[in-house]
Amino acid sequence: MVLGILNVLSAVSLLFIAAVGLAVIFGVMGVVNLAHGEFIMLGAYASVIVVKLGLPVSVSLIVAPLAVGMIALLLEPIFFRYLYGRVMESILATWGLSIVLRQAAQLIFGAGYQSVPYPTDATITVLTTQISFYRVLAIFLALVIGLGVLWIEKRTNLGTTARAVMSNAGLASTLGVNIGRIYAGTLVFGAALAGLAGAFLAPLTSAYPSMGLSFLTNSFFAVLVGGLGSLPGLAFASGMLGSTQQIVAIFIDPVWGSVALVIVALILVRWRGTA
Amino acid sequence: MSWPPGIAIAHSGIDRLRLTSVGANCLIVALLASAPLWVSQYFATDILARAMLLAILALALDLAWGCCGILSLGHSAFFGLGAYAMAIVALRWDSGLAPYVGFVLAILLPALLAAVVGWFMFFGVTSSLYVAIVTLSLPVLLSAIDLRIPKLTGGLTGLSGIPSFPWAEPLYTYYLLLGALMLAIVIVTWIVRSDFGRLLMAVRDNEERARFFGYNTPALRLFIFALSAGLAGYAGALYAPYNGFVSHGLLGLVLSTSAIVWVAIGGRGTAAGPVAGALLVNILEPTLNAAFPGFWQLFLGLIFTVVVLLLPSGLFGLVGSRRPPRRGFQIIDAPPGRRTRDRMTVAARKLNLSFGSLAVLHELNLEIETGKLHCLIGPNGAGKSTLVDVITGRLRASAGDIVIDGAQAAFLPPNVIVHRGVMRTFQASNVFETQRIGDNLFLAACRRELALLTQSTNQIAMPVDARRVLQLSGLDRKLDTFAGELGHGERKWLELCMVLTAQPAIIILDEPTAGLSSIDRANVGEVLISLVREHSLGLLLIEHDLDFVKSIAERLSVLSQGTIVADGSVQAVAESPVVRQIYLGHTNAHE
Amino acid sequence: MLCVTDVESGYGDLTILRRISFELAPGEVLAVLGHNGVGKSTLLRTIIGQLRARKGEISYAGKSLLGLKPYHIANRGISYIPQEAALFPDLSVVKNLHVAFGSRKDFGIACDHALAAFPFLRNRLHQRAGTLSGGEQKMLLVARSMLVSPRLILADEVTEGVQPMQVSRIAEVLRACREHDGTAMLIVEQHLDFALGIADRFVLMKQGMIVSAGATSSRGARVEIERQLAL
Repeated sequence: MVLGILNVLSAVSLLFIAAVGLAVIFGVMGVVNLAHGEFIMLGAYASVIVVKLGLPVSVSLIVAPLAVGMIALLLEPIFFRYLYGRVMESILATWGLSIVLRQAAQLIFGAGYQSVPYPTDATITVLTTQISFYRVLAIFLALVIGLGVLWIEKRTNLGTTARAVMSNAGLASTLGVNIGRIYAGTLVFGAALAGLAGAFLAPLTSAYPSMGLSFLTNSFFAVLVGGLGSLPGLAFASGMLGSTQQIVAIFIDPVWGSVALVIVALILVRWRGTA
Repeated sequence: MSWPPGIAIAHSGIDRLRLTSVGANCLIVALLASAPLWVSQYFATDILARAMLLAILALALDLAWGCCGILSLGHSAFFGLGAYAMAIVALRWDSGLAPYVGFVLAILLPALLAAVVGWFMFFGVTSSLYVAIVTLSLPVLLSAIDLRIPKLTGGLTGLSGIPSFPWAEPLYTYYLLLGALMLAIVIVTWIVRSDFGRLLMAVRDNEERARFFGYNTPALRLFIFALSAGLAGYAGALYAPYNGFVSHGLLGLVLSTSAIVWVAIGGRGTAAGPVAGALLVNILEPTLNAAFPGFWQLFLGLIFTVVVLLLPSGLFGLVGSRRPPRRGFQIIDAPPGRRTRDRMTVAARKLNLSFGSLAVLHELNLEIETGKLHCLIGPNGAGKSTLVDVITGRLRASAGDIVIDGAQAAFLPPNVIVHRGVMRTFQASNVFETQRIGDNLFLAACRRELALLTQSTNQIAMPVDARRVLQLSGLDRKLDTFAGELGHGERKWLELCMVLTAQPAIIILDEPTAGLSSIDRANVGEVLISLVREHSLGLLLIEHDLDFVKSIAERLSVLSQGTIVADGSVQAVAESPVVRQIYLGHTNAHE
Repeated sequence: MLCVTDVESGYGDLTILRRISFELAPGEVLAVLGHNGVGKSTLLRTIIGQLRARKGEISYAGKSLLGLKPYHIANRGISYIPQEAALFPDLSVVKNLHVAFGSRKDFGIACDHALAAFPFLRNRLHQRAGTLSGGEQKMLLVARSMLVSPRLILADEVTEGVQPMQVSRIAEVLRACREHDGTAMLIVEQHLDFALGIADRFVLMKQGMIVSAGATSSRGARVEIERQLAL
C-alpha cells in the first residue's frame, strides 16, 4: 500500500519534472517546442558522456542542464527567434528540429540503449518493503524544482518581468523590457530544465535516441490539461495524469496505463473547454 | 528578423486544384503506367508499387492537413491499423469472404477511431497544437498496444504469410495498385474541386468566420478527419496482401513523420503535391539510404525544416504557381421566403463578465428588435465588442441571460445562433481572404454542408437587398478578385454583402463606418436605413461617429464601464449630459 | 527635442496618419486634440515604435527613432502611457512599478518620490492592479511614468474616466514634473480644461492631419478649438 502510494507519487513527480521545462517555454513565449523530448534526450546522453569520462554520475545533474541550455542558446538566434508568435510554423519547424536531433543522436551514439548507473543504489525500508531511494528522490526533486520555479516567478524581479511579458509583451516592450532577451533567457532556462530532467531520468530508462518521444506527448498533455502559464495547474495535471497512469499500470498493465493517461487527458481538456 | 520575401507566397494554398494540379497528376499517372516499359520489373514491383501505396497515405494525410488544416502528426496509425485489420482477418478467418471483410474493416476501423478521437479534439476549446499532440499520441499508443497483445498481432515480429492477390503475375499487382492510387486521386480531387472543397478551405483558413456564417465547423472537421483516416486504412488494406507481412513499424511514429515530410516537401493543399512528394522520396530513399546510411534521414529532416520555414507551399508551390483560371461567377436570385421571422427580439439580461480581475460587463441589459435601427455608443474599452461577442456566442458570460425570440441562447455555439437569425460583422472586417469575392458570397449564401459535396457550381443565390449593396459597392464587377487584395473600405462592403446574403433577421454591425470615406459613409447610412425600413431588418450598430448616429438611428444606447447608462430615442439620449461627457470632452468645468 | 516630419502611418492597408509634422522643445508640453478616431493614439504608438512609420522621420535628441524596437525607444527616456491595456492587471501595484523600473538602482527612493505624488497608492502596494478603480489606475500610470524620471512623456487620455478631483491632482503632478525636472510632454486629450491647463501649445487633428495649431495662452485659442471640434 505504502509502496503503491510512493510509486504513484514518484510517477507523478517524474511527469512533472519532464513537463516543467516545456511549461515555462510555452507559458512565457507561446512557442510550441516539439523538440522538447529531444532536449530531455540530450540531457540523458550528457549523463552517458559524464560516465564515460569517468566522473561520478551525479555530476551530470549539473552538466546536463548547462549543456542543453548551451545548445538552446546556440539555436535561439538561428532558429527559435523566427518562431515567436507563429504557432503552426513552430509546431512544424520544431518537429523538424526533433527529427534532426534524433537522427544526429542515432548517428553519434548509435541506436541502442545506453545504460547509466544510478547515483545511489540505496533503498529505504518502509514498513517491511524496500523502495529504491532514487525513486523517492524524484518526489523531492519535483518539489524543489516546482517550488524553485514558483519562487522565481513570484519573488524575483526576473519572474515579475517574465510574467509581465507573458501577460502583455507589447506593453512590456514600451516600458523598456527587452523582450528579445527575456525570450532567449526563458528558452535557455526551459531547455536547461529539460536537460536536468533527462539526466535524472537516464538511470531509470536508459538513454536511447527516440526516448524523447515518450516524454513529449505526456509532457504536452500535462501542460495542456494544467492550463497555460500555470505552475500549480501543471502540478494538478501531473497529479491527475501521472496517478492515473501508474494506478492502471499497477492493476492492469503499463501499456494500458499509457492509454489511460491519454484518455483522461482528452476528457479533462474537453470538460474544461465546455465548462 | 525577417525572412526573405519568398515566404510571402503564403501557403494560402488557394484552390490550386485546377488544371495545374490535375495536369500534374495525369502526368504522374501516365509515367507510372508506362514505367514497366522502361524500368526493371524488380524496381517496378518492389519500389514503385510500395511508393504508390505510400502516396495514397500521403494523399489521405493531405486531405486532412492541406485541405482542412488538421495537422495529423500520427496519420500512419490509421494506415497501420488498416494493414493489421486486413492481415488479422485474412490470416485468422478461413473463408472466401475474408479478404473482403478485411478490406471493409480496414477502412471502417481507422475511420471509427478517428471519429472518436475527433470528437474529443474538435469540439470544445481546440487548437492546432492540441490536434497535433493528440494525433501524435495515436501511433505511440497503438504501437504499445500492438506489443501487448502479441497473440493477435504478432508483437515485434508482426504477422507474415498474408495471402496475396489471386494471381501470380506481379505486374497485375502493380497495375492494381496504380488503379488504387488513381481512385484515391479521383476521390480527393473530387472533394476538393466540389463546393465542399471551397468550404473546407474557408474553414482551414478562417474557421471563426465560417462558424459565424452558420457552418458547424467542428462536425466538418470530424467528418474529413474520419474520411482521411479511412483512406489511410484503405492504403493499409492493400499493403498487407502486397507486402505479405505486416510489422510493428507500420504503426509507429517513423512512418507518420515520413508522411508529414513527404506532404510538406511535395506541397500541401494540392492533390498532386503529396503524390509527387511521396513518390519522389520513396523512390530515392533505398538508393540514398544505402549510399549514406543514417545521413539520409538527417538530411531529410533538415530539408523538411527548411521547407517548412522558407517554402511553405513545397515543391509544387514552386512549379505549379500559376493562378487558377477564373470561375465565371453568376448571380441569381435567392429563393424567396428564407427570411421567415417577421418580428424577433434579442435580449441581453443582467450580463456579467470579467476577465480575471477586470470586470468588463456588469449587470448589462439591452434589447434589439427587428424593424429598428439601434445604435450603441460608448468610450473605448467600455465593452461594446465584448457584448457583441457574448450575444453571438463567441464568449460566455459568467452570469446573465441571452434570450433570442423567447428561447434561451446563452450557451449556444455561434453557428446555432446564426441559424436563429442573428449575425454580426467584425470590427476588423472578417472575410475569407484566400477566396475570391464570388466564393465568399457563395459561402455566405449556402449553408447545408454535405449537399455541397455533390455540386460544383458557379452560381451565387443572393436576395434583392444584398444584390443592391453589391452593385452599390462596385464589387459586382470584381467577383474574381481575391478578398485579401481588397482595400479596407471594400472589405467592409464585402462583409456587409455576405451577411445580407445569409438573410438574417437581426444584424449586429461592429463599427461599420470606421475608416470609410465620407461618400462611402453616406452610402452605407442610406443602405442601412433602407434595410430597416423596406426589409424590416433589425440592426444594432456599434459606432463612434456621433454625427453618423444622429443621422440614421432611431434608438440609441450608451455603454460605459460595462453597463448601459442611457437608452432611448436618439433625440433624447444624444442631447443628454452623459453623452456630452463621454463624447465631447468635459467642455464644462466640473472642478 | 522631438521632431516629427511628414509622418505617415497606419494598420495593414489602412492609412491613419497623413503627413504629420510638429516639433517639441525640451520641457515643452504639447496637447494633441481631436475627436475619436482621428489618429491621436496612432501618433503616440508610432512614436514609441509599436507601429512602423511608413513615411517621414521621427527624431529624438537628434537621433532617428525609426525602426527601433519600443524598448530601445523607452530606454532613451521616453515614457508612454497607453489609453487601453496599460497595466498588468494580475500583478500587484508594486510589481507593476517594478516592471517599468527594470534594472535601475534604488527602487525604494524612486518609489517614494513617485508615491509622494499619489499617497493613496502606499496602501495599495500589494493589491492587484486590475482591482483598482479606473481613476486610481490612471494615477498609478502617472506614478509609474514618474518613476523612471523620463525626459519625454507620451500620455494618451490619461484623464479618461477620472473624477474631477483626481484630474486636478494629475494636472498638478504633471506640472510639477515639468517645472522641477524639465520633462517634455505630448498629451493626447479629450478633456479640454485639463489639456489647456497644462499645455504650452496645442495641435488639433482631423482625419489623420493637423488642421490647427497654436499657443494655448493666446486669447482666441479656446474659442477656435471649440469651433473646430464642433464642426
